[in-house]
Parts: sequence; C-alpha cells; structure tokens
Amino acid sequence: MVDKKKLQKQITDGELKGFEEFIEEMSAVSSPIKGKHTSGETLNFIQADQQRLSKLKDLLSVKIDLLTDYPSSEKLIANQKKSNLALKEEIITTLIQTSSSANKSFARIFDLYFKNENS
Amino acid sequence: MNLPNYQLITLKTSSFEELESILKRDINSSRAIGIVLSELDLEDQKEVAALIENYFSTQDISYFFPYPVYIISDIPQSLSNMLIISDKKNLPNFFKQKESKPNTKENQILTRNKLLQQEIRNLNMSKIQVGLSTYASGHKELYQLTKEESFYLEIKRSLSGR
Repeated sequence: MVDKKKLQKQITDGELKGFEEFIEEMSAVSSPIKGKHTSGETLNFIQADQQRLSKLKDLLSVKIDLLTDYPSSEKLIANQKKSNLALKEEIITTLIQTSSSANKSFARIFDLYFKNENS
Repeated sequence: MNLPNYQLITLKTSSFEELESILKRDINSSRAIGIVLSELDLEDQKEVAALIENYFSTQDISYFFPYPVYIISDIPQSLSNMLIISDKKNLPNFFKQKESKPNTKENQILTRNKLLQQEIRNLNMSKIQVGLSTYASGHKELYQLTKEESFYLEIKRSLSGR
C-alpha cells in the first residue's frame, strides 16, 4: 500500500512533478475497509451455499436426465414385488398346515364356541 | 451483493396490485424467500397462496430452485404444493444468517455463486419437475414395498420362533 502522506511530500518537493493529477485520482479511489468483521460465519455460510448450488446444478442438469432416460425404479419395484410374493406364499404355506399354530388356535376357538352345540 | 439469507415479504392486503409488485421472475434467484400471509384473513390467505402458486406454474419458475420460497401462513400444507410454514421461527436454519456486508473474499464466492444460480435458472423447470416427480413416486412405491416386506419377515420370524 502506498503511503499517501509520503506521496504528498514528494509532490511538494518536486520529485513527482507531472504526476499530481494521477496521484490525486488514485487517492480518491476508496481503499478496502480495514478492521472489517471477518468471523468465519458468513464465509462458511456462503461456501456451504456454493456447495448446495453446485450439487443442485449437478442433480438437475445431469442426474435427473440420466434417471429419466435409464429408470431403475421399475426394475427394483418388480424385484421387490416378486420377493414379497414369495414371502407371502411361504407364510401362507406354513399357516395352512394342519399342525400349524394358526390352525390349532382356530380349532381352539371353534371348539370353544361350537363343539358343545353340535355334540 | 446480498447474502442468500431469508428475505421476508409481508403482505398487508390481498390486493392483486400488491401481489403483482412482489412477484417477479427473479424473486428466488439469489436468496431464500418467505412470504408472510399471517396478517390476512384465513380465506384471503388461501386465495393468495393459490395465486402465488399459480404465478410460479404459469411462469415456469420453480419455487424450490435455486432458492426455496416459503409461505408463512395458518393454512394447512394439504392446500398447496408450495412449502407452507406456520411461523417464521420454524423456517429452516440453513438460510438464517445475520445480514452483513460481505468482504472481498466473500464477494468473490458470491460472484461465482451467481453464475451457478443463473445456470440453475436457465434449466427447463417443467421437464425437471416431471423427472423429479416420477423418480420420487417410484421411490415412494419402493418404500411401501420394503415396509411390507419387513412386516412379512416379522411374521415369519414369529412363526419360526414357536
């Protein structure tokens, strides 16, 4: 940073004769604010926003197009439905066996309410 | 250059002129927006929220990108596709930042961010919205199916445990 007082002295001494106008103009340009509040909070916020924006741009301009052109959800859904159906069949096969706990429970209930009337 | 923190706009009346004065194409291009409707009657709040949503859809602008637009109102979320919040205290913390004059380094990053904001603004939002909705609905269905699977697995576990 150029010392303004030193320059003024040099102008009056005649060392910088011919540059007076230029020096006046340069000193009129505002210098950066000294002692400004520079806690990292604002900087962190702006940097986090920058990350957010660049991820958002990546998602909206690249990933969404890829996902639209090559959708993966349908295949995953079909696989999941298949797996659920297999599980359901397995559970039902277990439950409908004569010796199954569900059948025993039903038998107990039916016996409790209907056995006496029939016999 | 402003920080991208919340700009709260309070609507005092439900007049079309007042609404027209706040709704600009670049309303959410550089900072998050909170439109406060709480000072209006409940019926007016519903009407104004619908008009705001309609403005965004007719202008093909997203109320999510690059910065979100929140409606601060007493109306339920089910009445609008926009983000409705009952009180400004409940606004997400990310954009809650004290207003301050940015220094040189911060200004440089803000200038770069401006380019990213413009790139996002230039995207075809209606096409993106369709893509996002399709992707989201697929994932919702998948979530329901995996939930169903865990229910069956629980039954299977309890049956084999007896």
